[in-house]
Formats: sequence, structure tokens, C-alpha cells
Amino acid sequence: MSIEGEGPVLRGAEPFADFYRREFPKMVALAFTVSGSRLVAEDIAQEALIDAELRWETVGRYDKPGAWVRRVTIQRSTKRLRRLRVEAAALIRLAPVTGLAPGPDDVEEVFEAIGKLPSKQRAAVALHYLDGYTVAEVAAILECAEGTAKVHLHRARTALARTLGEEIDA
Amino acid sequence: MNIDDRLRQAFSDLENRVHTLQSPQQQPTRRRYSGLVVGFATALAVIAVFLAGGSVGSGDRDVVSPGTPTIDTPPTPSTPTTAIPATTSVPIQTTPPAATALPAGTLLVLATADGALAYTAGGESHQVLPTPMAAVSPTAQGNLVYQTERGGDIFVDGSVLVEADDSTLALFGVFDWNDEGPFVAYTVTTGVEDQRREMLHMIELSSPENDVEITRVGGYETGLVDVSVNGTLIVYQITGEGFYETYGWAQGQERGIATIPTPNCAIGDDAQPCHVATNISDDGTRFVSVRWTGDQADLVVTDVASGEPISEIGLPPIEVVDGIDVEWPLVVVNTAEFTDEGYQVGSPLLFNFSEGEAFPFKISQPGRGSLIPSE
Repeated sequence: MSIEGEGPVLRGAEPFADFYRREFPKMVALAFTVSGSRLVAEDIAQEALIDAELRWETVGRYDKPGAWVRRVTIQRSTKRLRRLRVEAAALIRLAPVTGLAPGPDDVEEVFEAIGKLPSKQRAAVALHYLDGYTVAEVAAILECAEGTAKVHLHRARTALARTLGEEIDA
Repeated sequence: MNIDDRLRQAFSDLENRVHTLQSPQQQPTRRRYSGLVVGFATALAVIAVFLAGGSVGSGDRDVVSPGTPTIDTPPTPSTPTTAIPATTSVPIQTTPPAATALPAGTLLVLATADGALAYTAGGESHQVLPTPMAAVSPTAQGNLVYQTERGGDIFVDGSVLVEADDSTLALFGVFDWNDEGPFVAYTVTTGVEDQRREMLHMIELSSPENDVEITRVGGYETGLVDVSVNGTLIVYQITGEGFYETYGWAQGQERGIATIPTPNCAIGDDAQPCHVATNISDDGTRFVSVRWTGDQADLVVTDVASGEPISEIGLPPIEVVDGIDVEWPLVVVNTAEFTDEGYQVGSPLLFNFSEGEAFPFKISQPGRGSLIPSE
């Protein structure tokens, strides 16, 4: 899968507004899954989409601009982890707290379990179950070997099934 | 329900909740600022008040009305990390937050001079115990929160360091805001075996006489603090996107004693992730910093009194052990021993907090060789 400019230009760029409307909710969900923070998930998604907007003449013509913005979202989510503690403390103290509202208990239970996974596994789970990406596509976005992505997904799935008490289909 | 259906259902629910928050007319630039401006411009406003000589917390507050900040439409940023305009008007919320309970199970992972770890468990006990690395839980991370006498909590995060000798454990460099503005605090604890902990010092960076210019780059301010073994010096380090600067500070003095430049990280959209770790020699005369970019680390030794660099060295590439993600490591230069020939790096430890795990590393030969896992 071609994500960045090294691949052939296959089509013209769609309007960024359309791309934004389609991708923003998924990017927030992805950022929340990887960062584990409701406070910054929307900001991370916005920053990633701003990255895309600023380069839209180029990114918009990629084979899969959505994959590019997912990679940026994951990178930014990981980057934020270390900053979160200090920033969250300041934000809570100095500013109104907004962010993604909690969901039903059974859903929160899932994301609590996902939050205990290593970051690469969280990202892989989000890309696969949120976006429906194949293992190969997950590998391309995470910039790892397909076998590595498969291991990430397998371990995450096994750990989540055990934590949540669910069955694993063969 | 099997695990696949459960996960798809959860993600679908999550995505739908995001949908309900958004209107199609909202553009990313404005929304981004609506989130970040409120947080960081508010913080900036607090800092700016102090830099101007004002005081928010002592009664002569410039702006005291809490409520929803009013943000003008910001300009389109030239880069995603463009600083928020300093003229942004944001009311300062001065209501102190409710005390945050210390979550059970929180753990503060720190390095000790002998390469072992000290950790602080959750609950009210605030125990500080030396422990072998192997005893640290893989899920060990989190904040410790101390309630201060001066209002506000101190959030102790993974950035803090510890120094130890046979009888003294000095720990807790902190950077945070309280309702009076930014400050650092540190604790020197003696008698590790007695598990005695006492907050001894807190320095408000906001005080004009402290002569510290808080620089804001890329929308973030974070800080690191180091404490020498005998507690005579701390270093306050402001970090941001592609910018690092460090200040020496003497205990009992109101002024910083040196501004110590540390290596700059790459700046720009393609900047490498970068982290700077610092430490101080036991006698408080030398300061060592490590810039860690990708798998490459550079080390600089600086004379604290003059702020002049003494020597620099490029550390060898890190030998990444399979299965360890070092994308965002926290590097702790645990011990810096100085000799007539320069310095030796004792036993640097590599903590990878992004994975919620801590891994010890050491350099096989001081200043040379690959970083290898500690035994």
C-alpha cells in the first residue's frame, strides 16, 4: 500500500472539507484509543488533520490519504503520552474540561482493557476494528513488517478476550 | 458475543459519540484552537502575568472571573505547532481544584545510584523503597499527587529523578502550575530505611526575583528538575518543540546561577522525536545532559557556575532489544562521575513510559559501546 509520496499518484485530490468530515470522527476514536485521553483526543485528531490540510495539494493526491493521516494521528498520540500528565494537570486546573464523553459501561470496559495494552497493539486494534484495515494495511501504517502487525493484533485480541471474558473464534 | 464483535461494537459506539460532538461546519483550524487555546493560552496568560510582575494568587489578581474563556478566531497557523498569540484574551480561572485523591496502585519509578529502582506505591503511605527492577509491574506508571500547603496539587510524573547514596534519597523534581502560577518543588529525604518523606523546598518560578524567563515554544511548556545528592542544587529545564534550555539553581538562593544551553533538537515538521535527560554531579559543579533523538544520543557536560560546555560526545547508537519500543524513551542519566579527563557515564537507565514499562539499560563501557540491558 502506498501511503506517502513514494507511490504513484493515482487520482486527483478530493475537497479537503469532504475528507475532514469523513475522517475526523475516526481520527478522534483512533487518538483516544492510542493516547487513552479523552481530553486530547480531539486535539490530536485536529492536529493530524491540520497536517493534512497544510499539505493537501500533495497528501490529497496520495493513493490513500486516510492512511497517511492515520499514521500522523498515531505518531502524535504516542508523542503526547509523555506530555499528558503535566498538560492534563494544567488543563484541568486552568481551563474548562471538555472532551469525549464516557460511553455505556460495557463499552468503557472495552476501552479500559485496550488502555492496558502497549501502544502499538492499541493502534493496531483501532486500525483493524475501527477502520477495517487488513493486516497488511495495518503494517503499512505502523511502518512494520506484516508479521509484526499480525503479532500485535493476535496478542491484543488474546489479551482483550481474556480480560473481557469473551470467546475467540478460530 | 465473541471478542471481534465486542470490539467492533465498541469502536462503532465510540465513533458515533464523536459524530454527535461535531457539526459539519466546524473547520479543523478553529476547532483545534478552541481546544488548545483554552488550555495553553490560559496557562500562558498566567505565566505572562507573573513575568509582568503581577500576582494572581496573592490578592491583586488581574483577572479573576471564572467561566468560559472568550477566544477570538485565531489566525490560520503556519505550522501545526504555531504558538498561540500572546495577545489572546483569556480569563483566568482561579478557583482551586478539588484535592485529587491518590489513586491506588499509582507507582513512581525512579532510578537509584546502584542501578536498582526506588518506587512509590499508591495509597496514603507514600512509601519509598529500593527494589530490584524485576519487581516493577509492567503496568507501573501514573501520577503521584501531593497536596501542598500553598494550594494546588503537585503532580509527580515520570520525569522526576532520584539521587541516592547510602543514607540519602533525594527525589521529586516537579514542574507544575498551582493557583499561583508555575513552580517547581523538590524533596530531600534522609533515612531511606525509615521511609521518611518530607517536603522541604518549593521554589516559585514565577517570582520576578528568580530571574527566570519562561519561554513558550510550540504551544507547550513542560519541565524537568534534577536534584543533586546533597540537595544543594536543582536544575529546571523547560522543554518544548525543538527547544531546550536549562537553568541552574542553588538551594536557598533566589536567583538562578546559570543558564545552561542544552543541545537543540531538530526543528520543523520533520523533527525527530527528542528527549533531553539531565543530571548533576554530586558536588553540584558539573551538569550533564543527554539529547536523545531516535536511536542516537549526544551527551554534553557543562560547568554549572559559568554555563560553559566542557565537553561533548556522541554516544553510540542504541542496541534496541527485540520487543522494546524506544520510540519515546525516558532517558535517565543516573550517575555522572567526573574525572581529570572529563567524565564517565555511570549507569544510564532507559525508561520507556510510553509502553507503561521500565527497562534498565547501561552502557557496556563508560562513554563507549552499546547500551545493553542491565542484568
